[in-house]
Amino acid sequence: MAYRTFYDAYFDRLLRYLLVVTGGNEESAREVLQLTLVRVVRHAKIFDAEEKFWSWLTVLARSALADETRKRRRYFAFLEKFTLHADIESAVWNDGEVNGKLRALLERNLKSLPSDEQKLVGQKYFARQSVREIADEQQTTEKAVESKLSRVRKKLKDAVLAELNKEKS
Amino acid sequence: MENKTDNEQLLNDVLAEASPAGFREALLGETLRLARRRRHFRQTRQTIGILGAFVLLAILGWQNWPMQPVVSKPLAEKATPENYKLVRTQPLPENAVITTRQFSETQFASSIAPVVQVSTTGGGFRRINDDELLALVSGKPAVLIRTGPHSEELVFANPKDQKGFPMN
Repeated sequence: MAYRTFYDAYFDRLLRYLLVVTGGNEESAREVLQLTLVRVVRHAKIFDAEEKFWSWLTVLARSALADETRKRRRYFAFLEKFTLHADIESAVWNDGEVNGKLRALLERNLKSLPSDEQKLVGQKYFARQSVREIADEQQTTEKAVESKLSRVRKKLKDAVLAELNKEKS
Repeated sequence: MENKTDNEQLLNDVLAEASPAGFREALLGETLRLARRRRHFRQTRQTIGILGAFVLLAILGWQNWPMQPVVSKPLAEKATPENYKLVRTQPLPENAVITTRQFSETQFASSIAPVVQVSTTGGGFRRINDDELLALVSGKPAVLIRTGPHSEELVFANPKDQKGFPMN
């Protein structure tokens, strides 16, 4: 039960962190997230402050990322000595930086969307309209609205991850 | 603040978009399964450790436990007879031991009186005949009575002389 509470509270936060740290590599972020959660189970301990706990989680995440990277690059051990160190050093992000960066990328890409898609996102997330209300307003079905929202979110996600990747490289 | 909250929701939905179906729940299930397996392994290891400790203690206790006479007696009876007799000794207490020591010269006592040694020499006599015998007692009345072919008895007439008399 305690683990489920932890999981609900930190799953998204850790995934975001890892998406930024891995430079938008979603597959790698998921794998490292899994490794990190396994390490949490193995090495769980008590912290007197939430900040310290989050800091410990990020250390676990970074070490898991380092191990994952090492595994992937075991045939290039010589190069790894140079690149891995640089990767891990640059991966030291704090929570605020991660969220700030993601929000900034999201907003930037939101503005680059076509006007109808921007309007749809605005209705759903800023005007807090229900899908039914949006469908009624656009004289279409709820399913069509859901489908369009999903496409827009996917487009935004790909754009955000691509920018993260571009910034890293 | 409101805008930030809205952005947060949008960000969550965007990042969750097109994730593999049930990724979140699958990962939770996998992690929980791992946690249970680790807990089970830890409990098993502890149980094995405790059992091992008990077994070790039992073995040590069994080895150090004194043998029961019921068990040892038949074994002693079956043992081959020994061709020697084992005698066990033990030292006596000090107060039971008697020792001797040499006396000093002052403790010796000896007599200083001279001892006279008397000895006899053989062969200083001769056989006398009847006449010579009668001559010896000439001053006393006596008769020599022959009692057998080789025996004679000197009889004094005066009973006093029978007990002896000084010689001249």
